[in-house]
Amino acid sequence: MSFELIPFLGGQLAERQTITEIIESNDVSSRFGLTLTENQAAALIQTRAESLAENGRIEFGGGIIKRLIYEFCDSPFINAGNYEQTLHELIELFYSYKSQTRDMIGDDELIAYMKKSFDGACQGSVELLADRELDRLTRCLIGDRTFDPDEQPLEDMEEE
Amino acid sequence: MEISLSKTGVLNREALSGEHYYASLVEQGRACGLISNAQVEATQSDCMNMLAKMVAVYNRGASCSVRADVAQELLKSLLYTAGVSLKMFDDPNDALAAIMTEPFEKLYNNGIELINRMLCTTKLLHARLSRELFDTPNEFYRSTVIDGIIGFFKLYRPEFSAHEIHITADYPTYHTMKDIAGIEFIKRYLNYLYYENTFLKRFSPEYVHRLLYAYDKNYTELLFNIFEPVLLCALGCALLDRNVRALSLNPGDVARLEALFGGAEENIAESLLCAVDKLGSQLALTGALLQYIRSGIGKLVMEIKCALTSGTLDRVFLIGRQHDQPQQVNYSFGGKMDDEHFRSVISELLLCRNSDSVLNVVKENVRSLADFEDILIDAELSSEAVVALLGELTPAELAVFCKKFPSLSGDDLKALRENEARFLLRFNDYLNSLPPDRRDWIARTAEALRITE
Repeated sequence: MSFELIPFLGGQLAERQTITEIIESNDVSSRFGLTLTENQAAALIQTRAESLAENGRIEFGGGIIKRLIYEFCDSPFINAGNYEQTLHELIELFYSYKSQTRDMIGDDELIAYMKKSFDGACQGSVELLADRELDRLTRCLIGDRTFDPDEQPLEDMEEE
Repeated sequence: MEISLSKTGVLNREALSGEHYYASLVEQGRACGLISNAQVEATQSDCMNMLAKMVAVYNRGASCSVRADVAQELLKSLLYTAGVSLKMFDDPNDALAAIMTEPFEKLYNNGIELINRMLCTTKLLHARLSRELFDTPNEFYRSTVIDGIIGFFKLYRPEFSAHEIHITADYPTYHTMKDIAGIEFIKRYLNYLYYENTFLKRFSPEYVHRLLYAYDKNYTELLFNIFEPVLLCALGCALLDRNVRALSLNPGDVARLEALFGGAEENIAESLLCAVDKLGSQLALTGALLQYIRSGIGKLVMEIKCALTSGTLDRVFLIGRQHDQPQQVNYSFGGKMDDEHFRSVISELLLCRNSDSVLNVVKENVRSLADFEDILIDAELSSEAVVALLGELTPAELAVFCKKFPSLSGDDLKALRENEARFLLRFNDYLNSLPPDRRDWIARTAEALRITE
């Protein structure tokens, strides 16, 4: 009996719908000079599918691509040249840390933390975001430290 | 959606899975051409939409993704719940029609309602069974029926894991539990246990104890169905027109049963069914309980047939071990002296230079085995002093210590306090130094003892 999850959720209908949603988000991101083509949207969906599989996760609905676009499109560190690549990396990071933090943080909270760190302490560096800020967040959540989403990133505090 | 079913559908009820009812209905329907691939895809889509809603509830709306293993379990729960509602249809063809015509969410909601109702009635049944539980020293009976099922009720969450049973339900019932899951499993399991417990309650716990002791002298620690040997013995008694409630067969009775059965399967079955009727009237068993017994007769026939072939019918119709069993003796360690007195005795013992002076202090102050035990363990005595003190005990008193401090090793020994472990090793050394016949006597006596506080 084919009541299996993976083949069903990856159907063409769902993919088409997500592409449309991503293209619709151009309405907002274009205000910052950022747009995606259908091919680029399809590539992002492919990255999402691979990241989900790699992290042993299943997603329902439109997923987080649109939410990442809305959150990050006003970042001073993203431009038309690095927009798509940054989104690929952010998608990978998102699912990786969603799993590493054992689902202890909601999607919106995690995206907001990523944005705050990316624009602040990381100064637009995805590597720093992954290696330092998200790692710190993970240790806070699964360790003995209490995580405060409003807490300033490490570097901000050091500067003060 | 097109409905291609007639009331004379060809779905085979026997071939449907009790555990995966929804999926097996669809699978069999497709194999019989009663549901098209397009219809299957439509039901899947409906089901996945419901799963998405469930994931949102599971994540409390904070996340739209979930670990794949969690999603798979949620899906199992959904399908199981919808399956429960589909089992309400007498005809599986009608159930398949419902899959095609009703929204999945409706089937699911009906299922949840049925599960919650079942949960209520099962809790009531469990409460009743707990109140009326047959008194047996078998550890697994009580621990499964009471503690295990309570564990299930604590863990069971129909909204996310309706198909789970959470517990191992180790204690085996007369009828095998198979092809069933979730609350349906627990409900049926408790029904079976209720029948068996009702039957056992017709007998004196002492007579049942004698019988099960014959099954194995360590039966209290064995995981086996205690109902079946009792039923077989009662059937044997009924066949020989003996007092059923006494559960007493002797070797001559077993030989008579052997002759009675003759070896032919039909003879055995016929005799047993006749005996079940006699049990029904002598023990005032209800129709449902009699049916429960009758439906397992086939299994008993096979057991008897095998035993007749191997000449081991006395392992099926057990002969109670009334005379072999040592009489149980209760023994108390007695009261303890007050703490201040105890501290002063310990202080005095610390000043003793040899075993003789230790003996004198103990003889002057100690009036109970409880104090004697505390001193042996906590007074930091030398090995010689401990041996001298143990030498003062009678074999019966040594048996009491033997009972309280059974020989331990490995992790069990590590679990003891350091002082206790040290004493235990010294005590075992002391026992090993005794002549073998005395050691055997102490071990036998210890077995018959029951320590009371």
